[in-house]
Amino acid sequence: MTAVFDFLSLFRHRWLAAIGLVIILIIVVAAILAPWITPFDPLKIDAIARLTPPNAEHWFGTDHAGRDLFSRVIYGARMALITGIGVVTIALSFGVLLGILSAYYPPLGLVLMRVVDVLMGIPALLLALAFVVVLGKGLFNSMIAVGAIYVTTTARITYGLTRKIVAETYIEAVTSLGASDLRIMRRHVLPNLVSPLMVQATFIFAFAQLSTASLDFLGLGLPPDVPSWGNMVAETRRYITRAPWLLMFPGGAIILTVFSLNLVGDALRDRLDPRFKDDLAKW
Amino acid sequence: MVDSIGQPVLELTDLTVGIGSERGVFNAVEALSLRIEEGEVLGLVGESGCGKSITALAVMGLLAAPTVRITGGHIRFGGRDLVELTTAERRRLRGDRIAMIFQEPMTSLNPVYTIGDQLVEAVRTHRSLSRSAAWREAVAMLDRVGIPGAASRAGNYPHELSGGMRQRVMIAMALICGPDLLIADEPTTALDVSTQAQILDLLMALRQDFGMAILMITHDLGVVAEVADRVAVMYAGRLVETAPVRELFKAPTHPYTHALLGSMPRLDAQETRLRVIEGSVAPPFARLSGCTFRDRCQRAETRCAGAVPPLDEVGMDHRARCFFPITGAEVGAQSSGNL
Repeated sequence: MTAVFDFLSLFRHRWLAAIGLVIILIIVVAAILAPWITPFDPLKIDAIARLTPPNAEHWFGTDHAGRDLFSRVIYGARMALITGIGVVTIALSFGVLLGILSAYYPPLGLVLMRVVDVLMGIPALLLALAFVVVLGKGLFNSMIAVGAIYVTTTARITYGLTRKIVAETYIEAVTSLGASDLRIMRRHVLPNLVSPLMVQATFIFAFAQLSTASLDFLGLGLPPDVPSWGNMVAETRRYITRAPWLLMFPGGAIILTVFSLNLVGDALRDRLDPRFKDDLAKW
Repeated sequence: MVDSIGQPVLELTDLTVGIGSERGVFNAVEALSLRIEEGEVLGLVGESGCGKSITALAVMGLLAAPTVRITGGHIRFGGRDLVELTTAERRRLRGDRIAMIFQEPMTSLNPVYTIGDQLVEAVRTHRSLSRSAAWREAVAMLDRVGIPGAASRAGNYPHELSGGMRQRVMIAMALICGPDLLIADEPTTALDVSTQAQILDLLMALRQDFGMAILMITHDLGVVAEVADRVAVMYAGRLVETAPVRELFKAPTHPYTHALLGSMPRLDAQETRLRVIEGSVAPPFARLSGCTFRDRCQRAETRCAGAVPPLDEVGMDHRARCFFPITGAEVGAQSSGNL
């Protein structure tokens, strides 16, 4: 319970970050409650009502197949959360593992970190595309593809942090007490990585939204019938001059989500590393 | 002072530790031979960079391999040669039979765990005890090292304790498995003077209770005078003089030891300035041939450049590595003048 209060105290004098947190909570609640709060079935085609502008019945209007855009955007939040969680899980589990092992076993680190260097030299989206080409399309494959991008950055960050932690005297002290490498990694390195990686996770979650939406937009992400925000923008792009709301609402949802996550991430980072704190932090 | 009659707990013979660098391999410690008897306190003295901490890490098996490693010699402990043990065997000895305390009590404890948890971990690394039994041991040990209200203090995080208290916790962690040898690497350097005395008193009391030997690494001759039974002086990776503590302070034989003692501030001295030893210790890659102290030594002659002086017997249990050792008569004559 104190942890929750501690977390909330971050936002006391930062109303911008607090707004970000509230928006994220709204998105999460909407995603969970989607079947109960959506006025229409997001997949139900209604040929007569196609391309209806926003009105009292269809708050966000309808798309080219007459599907209710409001319902689709809310269901899209579900996909956004699922892919976000998936990407963060993949990026952190592999990135942390590779980072710690690299820091602990220098010869291995030398090889792994050079591989990471090469992968980081490839434009992120191109790397994800390469994975999709090899693995094929689908929810899990697009999570793996986008996750792979952030495995590299996470591994790099973990490597640096671990090197720093391992040089601390308390690691030398527990080593002198006979602790094994595995024990030191698990009991002493990992807990000290949690806070900085929390910040990293927030940013990965945010950027994962952009990357998965890009894959969807290119038709290489989720199957076209899945109501993800990226798919919505992609399949309606031919109509956007006539029906700009088709771009506005799903696109706005992506922007709002990424923006809110970044605000929260900034607040977390400032708490953990006050050196970055600048005048913006007042907001 | 304890008579040195026991078995050696630790015996180093010709221990050589090399540091690899782009300029080749250099010896940070060269052919070092030392022995510590049961229950004895050996003070290992020298300036920064003389190899005393590397010696400690070599005994612990904590050298930064592959850059720094033992290139020769033996470390005998408990009837075994540590140099020949596997990594896992060495790890089992660490914290159990040989323990170490460090200079920096402020950073030697993990900030994310309570001190009780860290002591529990130290016990359970080597003993199969239940958590609650280990916790009871931890509290008993905290009480033993003089932490008031040990039972409740065990739930504190390191940042809630002062430097002196933290060093007590470090000592408790090191001693909880009852080691035969404690290596104390400048244990009081980071503490204020009154706390220093308390920590030294505590170590001496625990030495009696646990019957352990202590290798006290320090550059502070005051600490050595207070706690050590025997002293070993190192200079630039080599042992230059070893003697029982009284003997060393009374009749230092090696010019370096003499100068080291001369640079100690004295309350009864007339001088207003501290005496210093001119120059500094040469780094391992720029060491002189022959005697490495000759460039700072006023007694040096050409002979000193030709060969490394042997560690010769100069008195009872007293050896020095010098071609021109200072004799007792000289010390008496020089106590008022300069060397």
